[in-house]
Amino acid sequence: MIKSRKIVAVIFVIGLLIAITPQLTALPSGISGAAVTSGCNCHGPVASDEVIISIEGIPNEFIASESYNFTISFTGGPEESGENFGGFNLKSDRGTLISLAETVQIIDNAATHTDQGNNQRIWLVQWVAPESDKVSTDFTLLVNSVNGDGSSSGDMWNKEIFSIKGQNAGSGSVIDIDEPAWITIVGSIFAILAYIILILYRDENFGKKELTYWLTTTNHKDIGILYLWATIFFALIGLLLSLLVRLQLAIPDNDFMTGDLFNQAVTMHGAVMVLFAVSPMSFAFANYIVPLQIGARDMAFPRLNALSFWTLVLGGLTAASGFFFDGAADAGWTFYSPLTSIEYSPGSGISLAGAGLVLLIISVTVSTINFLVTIGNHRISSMKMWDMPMYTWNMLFTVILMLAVFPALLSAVLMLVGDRVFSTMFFDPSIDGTTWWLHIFWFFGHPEVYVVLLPGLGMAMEVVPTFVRRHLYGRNTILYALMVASLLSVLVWAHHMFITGIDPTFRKIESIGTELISVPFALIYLSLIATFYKSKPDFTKLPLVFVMGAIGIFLVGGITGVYLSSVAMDIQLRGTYFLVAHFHYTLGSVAVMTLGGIYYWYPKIFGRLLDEKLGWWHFWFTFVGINLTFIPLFGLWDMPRRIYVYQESAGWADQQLLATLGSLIVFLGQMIFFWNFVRSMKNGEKAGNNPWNGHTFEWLTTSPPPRSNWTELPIVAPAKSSKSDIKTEHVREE
Amino acid sequence: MSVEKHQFRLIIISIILLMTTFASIFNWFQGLGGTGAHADKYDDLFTLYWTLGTIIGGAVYLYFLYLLTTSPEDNLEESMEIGELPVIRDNKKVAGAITIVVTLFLLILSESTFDSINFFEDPETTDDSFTIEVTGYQYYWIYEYPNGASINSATGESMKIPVNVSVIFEVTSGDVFHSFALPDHRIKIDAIPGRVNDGWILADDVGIFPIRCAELCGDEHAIMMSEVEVMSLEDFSNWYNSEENL
Repeated sequence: MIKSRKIVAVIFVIGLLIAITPQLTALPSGISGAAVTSGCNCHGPVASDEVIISIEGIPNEFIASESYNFTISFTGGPEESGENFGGFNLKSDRGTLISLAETVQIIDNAATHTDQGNNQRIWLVQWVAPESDKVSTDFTLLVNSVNGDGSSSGDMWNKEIFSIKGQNAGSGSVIDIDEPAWITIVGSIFAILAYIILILYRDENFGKKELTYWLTTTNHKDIGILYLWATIFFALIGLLLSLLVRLQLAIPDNDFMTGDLFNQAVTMHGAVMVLFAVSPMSFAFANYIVPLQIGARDMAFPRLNALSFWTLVLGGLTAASGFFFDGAADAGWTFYSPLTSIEYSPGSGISLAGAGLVLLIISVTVSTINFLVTIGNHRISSMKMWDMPMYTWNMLFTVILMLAVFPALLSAVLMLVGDRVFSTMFFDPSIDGTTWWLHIFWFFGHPEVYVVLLPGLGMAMEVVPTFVRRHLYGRNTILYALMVASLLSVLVWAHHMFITGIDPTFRKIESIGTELISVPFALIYLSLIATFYKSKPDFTKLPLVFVMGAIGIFLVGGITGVYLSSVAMDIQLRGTYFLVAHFHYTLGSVAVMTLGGIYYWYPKIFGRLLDEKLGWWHFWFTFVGINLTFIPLFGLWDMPRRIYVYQESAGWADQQLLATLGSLIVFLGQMIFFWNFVRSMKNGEKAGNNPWNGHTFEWLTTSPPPRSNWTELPIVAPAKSSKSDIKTEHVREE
Repeated sequence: MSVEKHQFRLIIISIILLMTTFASIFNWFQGLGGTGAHADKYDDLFTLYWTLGTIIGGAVYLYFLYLLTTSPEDNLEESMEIGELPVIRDNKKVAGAITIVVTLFLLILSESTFDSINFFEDPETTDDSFTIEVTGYQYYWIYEYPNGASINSATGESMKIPVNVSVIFEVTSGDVFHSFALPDHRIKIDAIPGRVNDGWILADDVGIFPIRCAELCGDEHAIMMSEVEVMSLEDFSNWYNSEENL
């Protein structure tokens, strides 16, 4: 007990140090980017503090439809000499800008200098306030301090963003949503508080002693429950972030979020969902179920197990903590270089995400070793490897894949953080560092998809036979297919880089390789549905219903995946919403399978069944919501992904609005589920040892199982001959 | 009773969803149409993939529905005691047949894919053809013509190309990773700093078409927009040889 407490303390300190380090070295957040508005071009890559902007005539609050005169000037930067030594551009999101002199012109409702106004550093602009004084107006002002030698070298520019509140803004019914950051922060604080309360709710006598117990426990079942809570928490964060993204895109020309905040939301949605929610959620069940399925009393290394869990939590919190400093990572969850370099992303967000990823990789690596040893050495003696239940098999493939590819991510992230903090030059564009990042990241990134998929498939392979009352069809075919698919998945990373200029022959090989992955998955899929042959499935049981929904969704994801694997088709479809719809159909189906897994094993873990009526509502909301969100997105095959604003003329508004409605429905469904999850712990129907009539070992022991799992170790019995009319083959040699 | 009700609902809704999905994918694709030499090849390829994908998807789905709805009177319930080993039912012949059939389908598709990609890779140049050097910056494009003419998309000016003449793009980036995309001409070329990637188009319709950046390149990625103006040969040479370009 004392030792494990020390471990927790040490991890905490290490995590804290890693979290703080980037804070010390990161530059203050700067203005990345340049002016791209008419009449004002980029002069140098970075805004310069030497140029000091002054604006006179800004009122504290504006009165509706009133005119105001602004005097814009600046000092600093190069000397005033030669020609065209000063320029500016002022944009407002509301109201009208008017030119009062020949030196200023209005283009696209932005004020900028004319040719005459290019040889001065002071200008006069009039602004007519909007008709409503219940809103705020944001202004963006850019100025160029030019040295007048005709080229852009040596020039400087600066940017100032200010806003003017309307007289009645903020009071009354109109909510000022100009600062979604506050929504995120307040929302997260509420979520965390609610979360702590909910965790405490599971035991009304919860006290200091219990808290110590949960912080120091090494029992595989306790860790499984902790994993479950933590990953549900991360999944909720991911879901909230996706909701922010969907709200921003619901209507054209929306100003709910700025580009920066939108990028943060998109990036963290991807990173949190893929790396900290769906992928570790497999460990939640694996921790609880795998030792039970193989008749073990615990994992091989219980303390390492606790270590993996606490590093995961620290990693996730570290990666997401950027929201509370100067902005979370905003370069996409794929972290493409050189946008992630200190030059283009000066904030601490990406360093924090890097630190979080390092902790995640530690957690994952420790877990994989633990599972490999547990599955290899802690099976009861009567269970041969080939006889292991399908969920355990799938977890075995998952951890092998993880062990193979997470080191690639580790090296990539270490090099990235090295570049940012110690100015190493691994991803320097001049030595083709950008392509180097792509190769090393996707070597991890593609198999990661299968790391996410296989545990979900494993759950489906447990759920289907149980409720169909037939053993899985083609068990051996599935196992060989899984091996082939795992092997192929580490060989086809370059299909993410078809148009980056890789060798034409190489990309054709990768195209064929990617298409071939659909062969093993076709076998797995067909075997799974062939299990239903002449069966009487019980469609009143929620785990089966969820898995059925997932099977339907997965088919669409799989077939659109073949479209994308074609190198010629991919040129058009990559980087668009078609791709977004495709991978949400595959990963969404994994999420639905995992939900089926939760319904399946909840009674084993908490001893009570989830409420069935709420469960049906949850299913319909999720299933209809996912489809409503992503069917329309297939239509946006010409809309680039990750853009925070689009124009009405582009014709994308209808589909985006439908998708937003769908995502709201999904969100409501998950809220119902969360309520059901918490409520049923106390009020659910008592489950008994084997509520579903399952046939794997976890159903033999009590629900929840005693601390060391078994009062009497289980024994494997040989298969009985079946009434099947299909030719049977017994592989076991005894 | 409730069993059949739920089953019925599930089946109806999933069929509707599946049909909607594939119909919408096809509809949205064809409705918008493309222009230029790539688009013809591309749209044919898409139709092929869509047709085969929908047939296979529909067949699998119908097979599944058939299995679900076959009469349960002769259902083959198996003994599934806890700890009892599963009955292994493998049909190697069926598995082999599925493998071969799927592989064949994929080879047919790959053949068409390679046909298209070879076409996309080898520019069909004529004497009139020329190269435009495209450089991406946060958040605008610079187009440079062989005679030294240069267009900055930040000024709102569109890239100009002649109709029915193949134009080669040499794309690179001056700062971060961009992607030069002409959705209507069905082409996309990554703009990577330190690399030059090339591609080509042969526009066959006069008009103005959008150019987008297709890779997240920073806060204002969304507004990194430009246009390509496809001009008649005469208009183009007037512009190209005009005084400001010489």
